[in-house]
Amino acid sequence: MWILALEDLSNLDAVMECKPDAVCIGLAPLAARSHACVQIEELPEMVKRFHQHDIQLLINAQGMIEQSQLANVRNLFHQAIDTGVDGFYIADDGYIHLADEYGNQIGRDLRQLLIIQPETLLCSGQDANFYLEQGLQAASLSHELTLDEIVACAQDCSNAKNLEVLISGHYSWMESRRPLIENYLRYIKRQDAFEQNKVYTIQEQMRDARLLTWQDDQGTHIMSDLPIQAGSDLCAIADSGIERFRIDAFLKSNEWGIEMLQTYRKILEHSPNENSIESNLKQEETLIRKEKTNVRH
Amino acid sequence: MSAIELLAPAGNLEKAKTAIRYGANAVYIGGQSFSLRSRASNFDLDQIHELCEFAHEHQAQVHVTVNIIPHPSDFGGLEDYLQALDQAGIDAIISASPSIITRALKMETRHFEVHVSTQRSILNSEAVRFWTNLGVDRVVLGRETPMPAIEEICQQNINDIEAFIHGGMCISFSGRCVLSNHMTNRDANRGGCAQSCRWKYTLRDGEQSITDPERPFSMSSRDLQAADQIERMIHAGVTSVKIEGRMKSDYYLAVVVGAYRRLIDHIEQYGHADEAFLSTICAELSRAENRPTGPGFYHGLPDENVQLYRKHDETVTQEYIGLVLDAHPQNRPGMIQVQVKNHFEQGTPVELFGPHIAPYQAIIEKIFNEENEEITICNHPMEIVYLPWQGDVVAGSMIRKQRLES
Repeated sequence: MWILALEDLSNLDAVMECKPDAVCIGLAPLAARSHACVQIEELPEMVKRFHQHDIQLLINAQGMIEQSQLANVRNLFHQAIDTGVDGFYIADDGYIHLADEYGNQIGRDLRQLLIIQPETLLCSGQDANFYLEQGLQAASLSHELTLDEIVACAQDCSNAKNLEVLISGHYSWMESRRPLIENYLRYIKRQDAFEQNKVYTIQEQMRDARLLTWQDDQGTHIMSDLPIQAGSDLCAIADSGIERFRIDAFLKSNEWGIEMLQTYRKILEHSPNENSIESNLKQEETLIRKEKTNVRH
Repeated sequence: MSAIELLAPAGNLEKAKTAIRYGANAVYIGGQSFSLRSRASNFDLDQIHELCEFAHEHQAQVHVTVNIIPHPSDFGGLEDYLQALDQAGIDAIISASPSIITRALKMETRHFEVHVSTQRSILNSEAVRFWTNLGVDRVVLGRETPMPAIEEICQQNINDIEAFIHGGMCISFSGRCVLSNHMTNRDANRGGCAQSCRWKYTLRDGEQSITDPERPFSMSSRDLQAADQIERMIHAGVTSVKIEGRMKSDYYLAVVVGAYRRLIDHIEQYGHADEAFLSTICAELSRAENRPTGPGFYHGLPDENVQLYRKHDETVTQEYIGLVLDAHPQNRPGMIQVQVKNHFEQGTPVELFGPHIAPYQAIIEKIFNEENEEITICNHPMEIVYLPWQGDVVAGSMIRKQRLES
């Protein structure tokens, strides 16, 4: 299953033409890390539009739910379900109970609409399996796994086809509830330089990578400097039984996402085009002992 | 027994015993497997067993963290380890991995509770309900949960709730940070966090730096100190208030646990702690500070006053000068036996505090060595000396220099 998470709502005709199996957009204000957000009133039309092209519509609802937001989240979640969307990416376990609660009201199993995607936290087939056995539609593996670990996850999972892997796109390195950028600029008396939702970069003083970062109503987000790329490792991932591959165009463009989708399709068909993508999946497992790493601090 | 549990961290057996002596109702520790803080001293099974016996003799409990986010190769020995913990007599595990949690819940014989770790960033009642329906016995809330939310969640009586009140704070939603993973290849979710959030960064808007070179961008934050929230937590029905810091010293634990113990006991006795009393507790807590503290999320969204942008290495206080080993040594009537920790001398103004002994002032009038010779200076850590002493004192009490008003 090819899933394309959109950068924005432009050029949707071209998106539909490239025929992903599913498209992911954000639902304001439930989404996290999405520029492709719609309001709830706009969702029915979106569902209709994508369904007409036999494309599933998945919703980014990856914001963490604060207690004070619960009533509003519940309301929007119910309304979104009623529009006929095909799934929700969630990062907060609270959605599982919300799904149960509404499912009991309307006589449906709504857990099968949920895709657990906490960015990290799912580093084993066993933990992913937990959510699948709870009846969720899919579980998205953490992005810091090596290829061998991804394959091992699939082997340890009773239903590997419902595992999902981000094969292309930027991914989260840190999520904070704190308004870190604004706080800093206020501290150095440069409030004038702060703009909500603007993408800045931060670069650690002894490193080269410039990490993409911004602040919005949910807090501060830090993303990878480079998009992850599975490259030809996608074949091994697919061979392991995993069937859900996500391309995330966030911070790129829908055109970029379309290009990646087309390229990766060819890679999986074992007919890579001239510009085949080199895998930058982690080569070595993360370690836990300081003395074994090359830490410059 | 107090109605609210005071839960303290401990990096080794002695620290755990200190925390319990100073009034912790429970301690949480890491075993040598499956625990974060892998660089902290962790307990082997014999030590866990010994601690459980000590704790239970003192009406206290032992919680063991089994809170790594496991990778595929990390599950070996898990079932045996959980069984061994059960046999050691522990009272709870704290875990963040759903598969570890469910394995524990499904054990045929299990005498310990299963608590869900703050690493799951549970901030709302629906997430609490989800985990409660699975059978967990307690939920540790994420540190982003503000006080009104804690009160609302407790009011719904879904499950036992544990909340942090003191210590280091993760800048990110707990568990959702891989800065360390990618910048140093050290896994933050398996005990290897390099605290990359505390490093210095250049913040840019496009190619333009908007960073003050003297005060570069950092995400470092003040540690949490939430003494002013304890009364609300007690009235809300929070089950347990948690101090962070398995890598902290005995002195830190004694000061912090002792202060919160006095605060909790005062509130439970009188129903309220007034500003004056709270102020003395906060002053006492500041004696243990090796990083500046702030209210975390309890006073609302943290602003720039809660962040640390300058160099704020952890400071080592040399105020702690002696540990009382024996309050009534047989061969030295009227004296206490003390293990020297830092330099002091005859005439040094000091304070003594101890398990259920609030700090009071004294002067070191005379010092005698083990040969009963009077000496004027102590500057050898671990040296044993004897001090004539009048006030309340028990073994395990600590002596520190007075902070003189400037």
